[in-house]
Amino acid sequence: MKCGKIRKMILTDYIDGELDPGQRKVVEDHIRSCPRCGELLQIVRDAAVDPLKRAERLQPPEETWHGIKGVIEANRPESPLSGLRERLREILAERKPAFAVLTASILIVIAALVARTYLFDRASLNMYLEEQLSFIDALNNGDRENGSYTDIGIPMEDFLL
Amino acid sequence: MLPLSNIIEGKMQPIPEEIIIKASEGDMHAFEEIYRRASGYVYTIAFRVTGRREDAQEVTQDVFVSVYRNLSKFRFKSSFKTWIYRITTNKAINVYRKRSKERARTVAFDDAIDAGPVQETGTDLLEKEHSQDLVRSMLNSLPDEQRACLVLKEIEGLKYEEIAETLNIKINTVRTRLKRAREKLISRYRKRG
Repeated sequence: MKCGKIRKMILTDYIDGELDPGQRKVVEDHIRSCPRCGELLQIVRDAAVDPLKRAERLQPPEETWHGIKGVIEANRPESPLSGLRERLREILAERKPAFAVLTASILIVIAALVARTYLFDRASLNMYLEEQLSFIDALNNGDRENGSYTDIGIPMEDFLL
Repeated sequence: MLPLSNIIEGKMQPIPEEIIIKASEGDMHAFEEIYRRASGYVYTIAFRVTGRREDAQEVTQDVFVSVYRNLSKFRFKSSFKTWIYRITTNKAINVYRKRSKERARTVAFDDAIDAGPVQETGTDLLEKEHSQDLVRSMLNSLPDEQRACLVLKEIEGLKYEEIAETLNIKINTVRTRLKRAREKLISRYRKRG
């Protein structure tokens, strides 16, 4: 391989470890036999690589994190639910007696409605059963005057015949 | 939280996906974990590209605020590390260009270049300062795009493919920029004797 190509590799792929083992061996064999390319490798290391590789890695001052956190928190959008949740918590904490009275009143009304409905249904059922029993009884006794079938004013048998 | 000694050496380690997802859902502890793992890398790149600590701090803050705001859009198609490097180099180059324009208008800029507060004394410190000054003057002698490539290569230890992905350029462009940057540094070295 010619010096021109080797010199380009020294400045880039060789010094940066980007060559495969075969290519690397070709460059190293050339450098051993070519003083000019060997000198270039040394000067690349001294002038352009080693001082940078030795450069200290730095850490930002702690105040940088506080600054970042401050910017993020200042610009964080309010969640619509978070406000509602807070408001509900306040209401429940501050107005407990009022809510207790309201809840008790609602429960009493519900209980009254349920009881009323239940009692009304029992009375209606009893009335209905009594009517049915007296009707059946009237049929059994042949008491035409006492049956509701006479309500139209004509004896049923006469009507059918 | 990782101890500091585990996170400041070598390349940035991949950040677990579950931490990224939690942070994207607004979990500040998860986001702080990302910051602790990545801030040293972000700050170092920013400082090496801009050459000033206060600019590096501004870039670091902008990068993490931007990362936080865009986490929910991150789809894991590229590596999270590459994504952070990309945001960092773009912002650092922008800040450097802005400062360069300001520098053109004022002579005081050079005096404002900041090597950080000097608190130590002795030979070690002088060597350290000399080394820091050397690195800064080497990088300052390069155009910003070549400088960004060199920082990602030499200081962050990225492979050509990772640099190409970070800067959104072709691998051959990475190779060309590195070659030109090194030729300039060699020429400068020879002139200085």
